[in-house]
Amino acid sequence: MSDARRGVAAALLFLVAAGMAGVVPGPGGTRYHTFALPEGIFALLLSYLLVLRGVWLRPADVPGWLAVVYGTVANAQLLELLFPPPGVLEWVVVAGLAVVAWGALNAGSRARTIASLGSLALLLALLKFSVIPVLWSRLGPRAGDAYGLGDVAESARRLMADYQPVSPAAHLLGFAALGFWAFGTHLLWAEPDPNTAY
Amino acid sequence: MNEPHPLAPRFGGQDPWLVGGVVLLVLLSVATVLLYRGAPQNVAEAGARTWLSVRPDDFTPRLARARQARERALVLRAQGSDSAAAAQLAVAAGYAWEARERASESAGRATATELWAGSLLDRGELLLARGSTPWWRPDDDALLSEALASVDQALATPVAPETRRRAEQLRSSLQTKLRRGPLEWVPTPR
Repeated sequence: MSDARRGVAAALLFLVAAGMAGVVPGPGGTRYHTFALPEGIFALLLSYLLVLRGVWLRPADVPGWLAVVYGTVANAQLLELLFPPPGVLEWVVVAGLAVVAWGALNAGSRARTIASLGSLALLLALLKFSVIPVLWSRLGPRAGDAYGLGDVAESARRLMADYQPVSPAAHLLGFAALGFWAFGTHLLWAEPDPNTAY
Repeated sequence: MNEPHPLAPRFGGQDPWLVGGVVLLVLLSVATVLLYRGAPQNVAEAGARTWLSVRPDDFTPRLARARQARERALVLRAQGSDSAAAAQLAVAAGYAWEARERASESAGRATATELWAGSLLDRGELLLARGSTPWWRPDDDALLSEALASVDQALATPVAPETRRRAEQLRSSLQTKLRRGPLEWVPTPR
Protein backbone atom coordinates (compact mmCIF):
# COMPACT_ATOMS: atom_id res chain seq x y z
CA MET A 1 0.00 0.00 0.00
CA SER A 2 1.38 3.44 -0.92
CA ASP A 3 2.11 6.01 1.80
CA ALA A 4 -0.70 8.24 0.45
CA ARG A 5 -3.26 5.43 0.72
CA ARG A 6 -2.00 4.57 4.19
CA GLY A 7 -2.41 8.23 5.19
CA VAL A 8 -6.03 8.45 4.03
CA ALA A 9 -6.92 5.05 5.56
CA ALA A 10 -5.33 6.09 8.86
CA ALA A 11 -7.22 9.42 8.76
CA LEU A 12 -10.51 7.50 8.32
CA LEU A 13 -9.68 5.23 11.27
CA PHE A 14 -8.70 8.20 13.43
CA LEU A 15 -11.97 9.92 12.54
CA VAL A 16 -13.96 6.86 13.64
CA ALA A 17 -11.88 6.67 16.85
CA ALA A 18 -12.48 10.37 17.58
CA GLY A 19 -16.22 10.06 16.92
CA MET A 20 -16.63 6.99 19.13
CA ALA A 21 -14.49 8.30 21.99
CA GLY A 22 -16.83 11.22 22.68
CA VAL A 23 -20.09 9.25 22.82
CA VAL A 24 -20.79 8.29 26.43
CA PRO A 25 -24.03 6.42 27.15
CA GLY A 26 -25.09 6.66 30.79
CA PRO A 27 -28.12 5.98 32.99
CA GLY A 28 -29.41 9.55 32.45
CA GLY A 29 -29.03 9.47 28.64
CA THR A 30 -26.24 9.63 26.09
CA ARG A 31 -23.72 12.46 26.49
CA TYR A 32 -21.50 13.81 23.71
CA HIS A 33 -18.11 15.02 24.89
CA THR A 34 -15.73 17.16 22.87
CA PHE A 35 -12.21 17.90 24.03
CA ALA A 36 -11.28 21.10 25.86
CA LEU A 37 -8.09 23.18 25.65
CA PRO A 38 -5.94 21.07 28.05
CA GLU A 39 -6.69 17.89 26.06
CA GLY A 40 -6.06 19.78 22.80
CA ILE A 41 -2.67 21.04 23.92
CA PHE A 42 -1.70 17.61 25.22
CA ALA A 43 -2.83 16.04 21.94
CA LEU A 44 -0.60 18.42 19.95
CA LEU A 45 2.37 17.49 22.15
CA LEU A 46 1.56 13.80 21.74
CA SER A 47 1.28 14.06 17.94
CA TYR A 48 4.62 15.87 17.82
CA LEU A 49 6.20 13.08 19.89
CA LEU A 50 4.64 10.35 17.74
CA VAL A 51 6.01 11.92 14.54
CA LEU A 52 9.36 12.70 16.17
CA ARG A 53 9.82 9.13 17.45
CA GLY A 54 8.80 7.68 14.07
CA VAL A 55 5.62 6.03 15.42
CA TRP A 56 3.69 7.94 12.76
CA LEU A 57 5.05 8.49 9.26
CA ARG A 58 6.55 11.95 8.83
CA PRO A 59 3.95 13.75 6.63
CA ALA A 60 5.29 14.44 3.14
CA ASP A 61 2.09 15.08 1.18
CA VAL A 62 -1.55 16.07 1.72
CA PRO A 63 -2.76 12.54 2.71
CA GLY A 64 0.11 12.38 5.23
CA TRP A 65 -0.93 15.68 6.78
CA LEU A 66 -4.58 14.57 6.79
CA ALA A 67 -3.56 11.56 8.86
CA VAL A 68 -1.64 13.73 11.34
CA VAL A 69 -4.48 16.27 11.68
CA TYR A 70 -7.15 13.60 12.20
CA GLY A 71 -4.76 11.70 14.46
CA THR A 72 -4.34 14.80 16.63
CA VAL A 73 -8.12 15.18 16.91
CA ALA A 74 -8.38 11.48 17.83
CA ASN A 75 -5.64 11.94 20.45
CA ALA A 76 -7.56 14.86 21.98
CA GLN A 77 -10.85 12.95 22.03
CA LEU A 78 -9.18 9.88 23.57
CA LEU A 79 -7.56 12.06 26.23
CA GLU A 80 -11.01 13.51 26.94
CA LEU A 81 -12.22 9.93 27.37
CA LEU A 82 -9.32 8.88 29.62
CA PHE A 83 -8.62 11.97 31.73
CA PRO A 84 -10.40 12.00 35.11
CA PRO A 85 -13.61 14.06 35.39
CA PRO A 86 -13.14 17.77 36.16
CA GLY A 87 -12.00 18.46 39.71
CA VAL A 88 -8.89 18.47 41.88
CA LEU A 89 -8.00 14.95 40.73
CA GLU A 90 -7.87 16.03 37.07
CA TRP A 91 -5.64 18.99 37.91
CA VAL A 92 -3.24 16.71 39.80
CA VAL A 93 -3.16 14.09 37.03
CA VAL A 94 -2.71 16.59 34.17
CA ALA A 95 -0.03 18.51 36.09
CA GLY A 96 1.81 15.24 36.82
CA LEU A 97 1.58 14.15 33.19
CA ALA A 98 2.79 17.52 31.93
CA VAL A 99 5.91 17.15 34.09
CA VAL A 100 6.76 13.52 33.26
CA ALA A 101 5.33 13.03 29.75
CA TRP A 102 8.28 14.33 27.79
CA GLY A 103 10.83 12.20 29.68
CA ALA A 104 8.64 9.09 29.74
CA LEU A 105 7.54 9.13 26.12
CA ASN A 106 10.61 10.57 24.40
CA ALA A 107 13.12 7.96 25.56
CA GLY A 108 14.33 4.79 23.85
CA SER A 109 12.88 3.25 20.73
CA ARG A 110 9.44 3.93 19.27
CA ALA A 111 8.31 0.51 20.52
CA ARG A 112 9.09 1.74 24.03
CA THR A 113 7.19 4.98 23.34
CA ILE A 114 4.10 2.96 22.37
CA ALA A 115 4.50 0.68 25.42
CA SER A 116 4.78 3.74 27.71
CA LEU A 117 1.72 5.25 26.05
CA GLY A 118 -0.20 1.98 26.54
CA SER A 119 0.73 1.85 30.24
CA LEU A 120 -0.32 5.48 30.63
CA ALA A 121 -3.69 4.77 28.98
CA LEU A 122 -4.17 1.75 31.26
CA LEU A 123 -3.46 3.78 34.40
CA LEU A 124 -5.78 6.59 33.31
CA ALA A 125 -8.56 4.10 32.44
CA LEU A 126 -8.08 2.37 35.81
CA LEU A 127 -8.38 5.67 37.62
CA LYS A 128 -11.44 6.90 35.74
CA PHE A 129 -13.43 3.70 35.22
CA SER A 130 -12.51 1.69 38.32
CA VAL A 131 -11.02 3.72 41.19
CA ILE A 132 -13.29 6.78 40.99
CA PRO A 133 -16.59 4.82 40.67
CA VAL A 134 -15.66 2.58 43.63
CA LEU A 135 -14.65 5.52 45.82
CA TRP A 136 -17.74 7.40 44.67
CA SER A 137 -20.08 4.67 45.86
CA ARG A 138 -18.27 3.92 49.15
CA LEU A 139 -16.74 7.20 50.32
CA GLY A 140 -19.08 8.65 52.94
CA PRO A 141 -22.87 8.80 53.04
CA ARG A 142 -24.77 9.47 49.80
CA ALA A 143 -26.40 12.82 49.09
CA GLY A 144 -29.47 13.41 51.24
CA ASP A 145 -28.46 10.84 53.87
CA ALA A 146 -27.31 11.36 57.46
CA TYR A 147 -29.19 14.63 58.02
CA GLY A 148 -26.96 16.90 55.98
CA LEU A 149 -23.68 14.98 56.31
CA GLY A 150 -24.42 13.23 52.99
CA ASP A 151 -24.67 16.60 51.23
CA VAL A 152 -21.30 17.64 52.70
CA ALA A 153 -19.76 14.33 51.55
CA GLU A 154 -21.30 14.82 48.11
CA SER A 155 -19.82 18.30 47.73
CA ALA A 156 -16.39 16.98 48.82
CA ARG A 157 -16.63 14.18 46.26
CA ARG A 158 -17.69 16.63 43.52
CA LEU A 159 -14.73 18.85 44.39
CA MET A 160 -12.38 15.90 43.95
CA ALA A 161 -14.00 14.61 40.72
CA ASP A 162 -17.33 15.57 39.17
CA TYR A 163 -18.02 11.94 38.26
CA GLN A 164 -21.04 10.97 36.13
CA PRO A 165 -21.96 7.27 35.99
CA VAL A 166 -21.60 5.55 32.61
CA SER A 167 -23.20 2.39 31.23
CA PRO A 168 -21.28 -0.74 30.05
CA ALA A 169 -21.83 0.43 26.44
CA ALA A 170 -19.58 3.42 27.20
CA HIS A 171 -16.73 1.05 28.11
CA LEU A 172 -17.29 -0.87 24.89
CA LEU A 173 -17.29 2.30 22.77
CA GLY A 174 -14.12 3.55 24.49
CA PHE A 175 -12.41 0.21 23.88
CA ALA A 176 -13.45 0.27 20.20
CA ALA A 177 -12.19 3.86 19.86
CA LEU A 178 -8.78 2.85 21.26
CA GLY A 179 -8.75 -0.12 18.88
CA PHE A 180 -9.38 2.10 15.85
CA TRP A 181 -6.64 4.48 17.02
CA ALA A 182 -4.20 1.56 17.37
CA PHE A 183 -5.10 0.29 13.89
CA GLY A 184 -4.60 3.79 12.42
CA THR A 185 -1.23 4.03 14.16
CA HIS A 186 -0.30 0.60 12.79
CA LEU A 187 -0.99 1.89 9.27
CA LEU A 188 1.26 4.90 9.86
CA TRP A 189 4.05 2.75 11.33
CA ALA A 190 7.17 3.52 9.26
CA GLU A 191 9.55 0.69 8.28
CA PRO A 192 12.23 0.48 9.57
CA ASP A 193 12.38 2.42 12.83
CA PRO A 194 14.08 5.72 11.87
CA ASN A 195 15.39 6.24 15.45
CA THR A 196 17.22 2.96 15.97
CA ALA A 197 20.13 1.44 14.12
CA TYR A 198 18.81 -2.15 14.41
CA MET B 1 -3.25 18.00 -22.65
CA ASN B 2 -2.94 14.92 -20.40
CA GLU B 3 -0.15 16.34 -18.25
CA PRO B 4 -0.75 15.77 -14.53
CA HIS B 5 -1.77 18.70 -12.37
CA PRO B 6 1.29 20.37 -10.74
CA LEU B 7 -0.11 19.53 -7.29
CA ALA B 8 -0.89 15.91 -8.18
CA PRO B 9 2.19 14.41 -6.48
CA ARG B 10 1.24 16.17 -3.24
CA PHE B 11 -2.18 14.45 -3.36
CA GLY B 12 -0.63 11.08 -4.13
CA GLY B 13 -1.05 11.24 -7.92
CA GLN B 14 -4.38 10.36 -9.54
CA ASP B 15 -5.14 7.21 -7.58
CA PRO B 16 -8.95 6.65 -7.74
CA TRP B 17 -8.92 4.82 -4.39
CA LEU B 18 -7.25 7.85 -2.83
CA VAL B 19 -9.85 10.24 -4.24
CA GLY B 20 -12.64 7.96 -3.01
CA GLY B 21 -11.02 7.77 0.42
CA VAL B 22 -10.76 11.54 0.72
CA VAL B 23 -14.41 11.98 -0.37
CA LEU B 24 -15.45 9.37 2.23
CA LEU B 25 -13.35 11.17 4.84
CA VAL B 26 -15.09 14.49 4.13
CA LEU B 27 -18.57 12.89 4.21
CA LEU B 28 -17.85 11.04 7.46
CA SER B 29 -16.42 14.22 9.02
CA VAL B 30 -19.61 16.14 8.20
CA ALA B 31 -21.77 13.24 9.47
CA THR B 32 -19.80 13.17 12.75
CA VAL B 33 -20.20 16.92 13.29
CA LEU B 34 -23.96 16.64 12.62
CA LEU B 35 -24.22 13.65 14.97
CA TYR B 36 -22.54 15.56 17.80
CA ARG B 37 -24.65 18.63 17.09
CA GLY B 38 -27.88 16.62 17.09
CA ALA B 39 -26.85 14.59 20.19
CA PRO B 40 -29.35 11.73 19.61
CA GLN B 41 -30.15 9.58 22.64
CA ASN B 42 -30.42 6.25 20.83
CA VAL B 43 -29.72 4.64 17.46
CA ALA B 44 -33.31 5.02 16.23
CA GLU B 45 -33.19 8.74 16.96
CA ALA B 46 -29.81 9.28 15.30
CA GLY B 47 -31.08 9.69 11.73
CA ALA B 48 -33.95 12.01 12.58
CA ARG B 49 -31.89 14.14 14.98
CA THR B 50 -29.05 14.51 12.48
CA TRP B 51 -31.55 15.49 9.79
CA LEU B 52 -32.97 18.16 12.09
CA SER B 53 -29.45 19.54 12.57
CA VAL B 54 -29.19 19.99 8.82
CA ARG B 55 -32.57 21.77 8.69
CA PRO B 56 -32.32 24.11 11.68
CA ASP B 57 -35.41 26.23 10.89
CA ASP B 58 -38.11 23.57 10.98
CA PHE B 59 -40.74 24.02 13.69
CA THR B 60 -43.19 21.16 12.99
CA PRO B 61 -40.73 18.20 13.04
CA ARG B 62 -39.33 19.39 16.36
CA LEU B 63 -42.79 19.68 17.88
CA ALA B 64 -43.66 16.20 16.57
CA ARG B 65 -40.42 14.80 18.03
CA ALA B 66 -41.20 16.43 21.38
CA ARG B 67 -44.66 14.82 21.44
CA GLN B 68 -43.21 11.44 20.48
CA ALA B 69 -40.58 11.63 23.23
CA ARG B 70 -43.22 12.60 25.82
CA GLU B 71 -45.47 9.70 24.76
CA ARG B 72 -42.48 7.35 24.88
CA ALA B 73 -41.76 8.59 28.41
CA LEU B 74 -45.32 7.73 29.47
CA VAL B 75 -44.91 4.20 28.09
CA LEU B 76 -41.53 3.80 29.83
CA ARG B 77 -42.97 5.04 33.11
CA ALA B 78 -45.84 2.58 32.84
CA GLN B 79 -43.24 -0.17 32.33
CA GLY B 80 -41.42 0.95 35.47
CA SER B 81 -38.33 2.41 33.76
CA ASP B 82 -38.37 5.69 35.67
CA SER B 83 -34.79 6.63 34.84
CA ALA B 84 -35.29 6.16 31.09
CA ALA B 85 -38.64 8.00 31.29
CA ALA B 86 -36.95 10.98 32.98
CA ALA B 87 -34.31 11.03 30.23
CA GLN B 88 -37.05 10.96 27.54
CA LEU B 89 -38.89 13.83 29.22
CA ALA B 90 -35.67 15.87 29.19
CA VAL B 91 -35.36 15.09 25.46
CA ALA B 92 -39.01 16.12 24.91
CA ALA B 93 -38.40 19.41 26.75
CA GLY B 94 -35.30 20.04 24.62
CA TYR B 95 -37.18 19.49 21.35
CA ALA B 96 -40.14 21.58 22.51
CA TRP B 97 -37.85 24.47 23.48
CA GLU B 98 -36.14 24.32 20.08
CA ALA B 99 -39.59 24.34 18.40
CA ARG B 100 -40.59 27.34 20.55
CA GLU B 101 -37.52 29.25 19.41
CA ARG B 102 -38.32 28.50 15.77
CA ALA B 103 -42.07 29.24 15.86
CA SER B 104 -43.04 31.94 13.40
CA GLU B 105 -46.48 32.69 14.90
CA SER B 106 -47.73 33.18 18.45
CA ALA B 107 -50.10 30.15 18.39
CA GLY B 108 -47.25 27.79 17.50
CA ARG B 109 -45.05 29.41 20.13
CA ALA B 110 -47.73 28.96 22.80
CA THR B 111 -48.24 25.29 21.85
CA ALA B 112 -44.51 24.60 22.02
CA THR B 113 -44.21 26.46 25.33
CA GLU B 114 -47.02 24.41 26.89
CA LEU B 115 -45.44 21.20 25.65
CA TRP B 116 -42.09 22.30 27.05
CA ALA B 117 -43.51 23.26 30.44
CA GLY B 118 -45.66 20.08 30.54
CA SER B 119 -42.59 17.91 29.89
CA LEU B 120 -40.63 19.71 32.62
CA LEU B 121 -43.47 19.32 35.11
CA ASP B 122 -43.95 15.64 34.21
CA ARG B 123 -40.24 15.18 34.85
CA GLY B 124 -40.53 17.09 38.13
CA GLU B 125 -43.38 14.81 39.28
CA LEU B 126 -41.42 11.74 38.25
CA LEU B 127 -38.34 12.88 40.17
CA LEU B 128 -40.49 13.78 43.18
CA ALA B 129 -41.85 10.22 43.20
CA ARG B 130 -38.36 8.74 42.78
CA GLY B 131 -36.80 11.00 45.42
CA SER B 132 -39.47 10.37 48.06
CA THR B 133 -38.81 7.44 50.38
CA PRO B 134 -40.69 5.83 53.33
CA TRP B 135 -40.65 7.85 56.56
CA TRP B 136 -37.84 5.87 58.19
CA ARG B 137 -35.40 6.64 55.35
CA PRO B 138 -34.15 10.09 54.31
CA ASP B 139 -35.39 11.41 50.95
CA ASP B 140 -33.01 11.69 47.98
CA ASP B 141 -32.39 15.44 48.16
CA ALA B 142 -30.31 15.47 44.97
CA LEU B 143 -33.25 14.17 42.92
CA LEU B 144 -35.71 16.49 44.68
CA SER B 145 -33.44 19.49 44.03
CA GLU B 146 -33.22 18.50 40.37
CA ALA B 147 -37.03 18.33 40.25
CA LEU B 148 -37.29 21.74 41.88
CA ALA B 149 -34.88 23.17 39.29
CA SER B 150 -37.12 21.79 36.50
CA VAL B 151 -40.22 23.34 38.05
CA ASP B 152 -38.49 26.70 38.64
CA GLN B 153 -37.46 26.68 34.98
CA ALA B 154 -41.11 26.23 33.93
CA LEU B 155 -42.25 28.96 36.32
CA ALA B 156 -39.70 31.44 34.96
CA THR B 157 -41.43 31.46 31.55
CA PRO B 158 -44.98 32.76 30.85
CA VAL B 159 -47.28 29.72 30.61
CA ALA B 160 -51.06 29.09 30.70
CA PRO B 161 -52.72 29.75 34.11
CA GLU B 162 -53.56 26.05 34.55
CA THR B 163 -49.96 25.00 33.91
CA ARG B 164 -48.77 27.68 36.30
CA ARG B 165 -51.10 26.41 39.05
CA ARG B 166 -49.79 22.89 38.51
CA ALA B 167 -46.20 24.12 38.69
CA GLU B 168 -46.84 26.09 41.89
CA GLN B 169 -48.47 23.07 43.58
CA LEU B 170 -45.57 20.88 42.58
CA ARG B 171 -43.07 23.47 43.76
CA SER B 172 -44.79 23.67 47.14
CA SER B 173 -44.71 19.85 47.50
CA LEU B 174 -41.02 19.76 46.61
CA GLN B 175 -40.12 22.55 49.04
CA THR B 176 -41.96 20.71 51.82
CA LYS B 177 -40.14 17.48 50.97
CA LEU B 178 -36.80 19.25 50.98
CA ARG B 179 -37.17 20.43 54.58
CA ARG B 180 -34.71 18.99 57.07
CA GLY B 181 -35.68 15.78 58.89
CA PRO B 182 -39.16 15.63 60.44
CA LEU B 183 -39.90 19.24 59.49
CA GLU B 184 -41.37 17.94 56.22
CA TRP B 185 -44.43 16.78 58.17
CA VAL B 186 -45.05 20.20 59.73
CA PRO B 187 -48.03 21.78 57.90
CA THR B 188 -47.25 24.79 55.73
CA PRO B 189 -48.90 27.98 57.03
CA ARG B 190 -51.41 29.37 54.48
